[in-house]
Amino acid sequence: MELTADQVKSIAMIGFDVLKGPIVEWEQRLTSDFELDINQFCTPFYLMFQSGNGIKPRAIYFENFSVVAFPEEMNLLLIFLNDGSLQETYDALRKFAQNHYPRVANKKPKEKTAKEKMIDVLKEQQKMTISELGKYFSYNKKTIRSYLLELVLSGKVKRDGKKGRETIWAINTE
Amino acid sequence: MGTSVKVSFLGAPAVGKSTLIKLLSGQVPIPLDYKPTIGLDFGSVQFGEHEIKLWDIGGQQAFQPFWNQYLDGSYLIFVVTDSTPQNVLQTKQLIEWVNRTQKNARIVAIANKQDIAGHFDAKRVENILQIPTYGLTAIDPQQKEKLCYILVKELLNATENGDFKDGTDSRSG
Repeated sequence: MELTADQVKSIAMIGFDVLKGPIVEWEQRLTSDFELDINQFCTPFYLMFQSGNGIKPRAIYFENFSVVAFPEEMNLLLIFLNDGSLQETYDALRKFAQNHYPRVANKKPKEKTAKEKMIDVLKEQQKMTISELGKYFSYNKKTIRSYLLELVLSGKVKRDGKKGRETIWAINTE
Repeated sequence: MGTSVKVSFLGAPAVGKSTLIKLLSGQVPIPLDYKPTIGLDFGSVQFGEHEIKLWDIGGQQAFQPFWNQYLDGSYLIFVVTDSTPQNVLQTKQLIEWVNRTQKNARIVAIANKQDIAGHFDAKRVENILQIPTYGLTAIDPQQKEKLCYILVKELLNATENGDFKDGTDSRSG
């Protein structure tokens, strides 16, 4: 495959300084319409292609250009290309992905109600007074009490003795 | 259900952060050549049902803008120095920054490379840094037990009531 000059926007070499990190060693711009400042973005580019010890990309497609990387030990040679026909491929892939995206994944898990959360806390702590429950919820004592009474009526919570002047509440396991 | 907590390692380049993580993860032999961490790397260590996720944060200046995000959610931050006088002073500034930006995490120091000539011992480093400091030589595999002990002890100090809550860590910066 022969590359033509109008396909390549720029070539740059990013090196790695032990103290500073990634630095632009040199850059050659092949077209005047390429406005990306490599100096400003050399660290993100270096991180994109070199970060971690796992799998690493060889090329990344951006909105107006794509970049292909050639790692050479600690250096990174980058070629910036015109997007060419990639936009068409990208659009086709988006359509393909949307058709295959499982709809179920879009459903958010249902948020628990205050009473359900109260049951969870009581299950964890086993026995609690309203003051103790107040540490877990941003409701006043009257509201907590009203929720507890509703839970008692539905048979999920029971009174379980006294602690000083306060009632102890627990999960009803009967 | 087990617990998962985040522990981060931060410090200047080449002070031994990755080597400490390799020591904890039981990687032997510990490589002696220097390979900089590019941005961020990970390790983990399991204690019973508890998983400790280890975040190895690249020390180069260019990565500094990312540090705060990388550190967010840490229960414990090990600030690592190579125990040389110059680096200990640099580390003091780093600790001041970590103290300002990561108010929820416990911060302790590791005075690494206790085997090199001209190093400050852990007590002297602690006097300068003014945070709990442990002396270590990360390239010595026999120090794994000591590092595990430090990790568990400091995690217990970092967590409320010395006990982990069940479930995945949800602490945020």
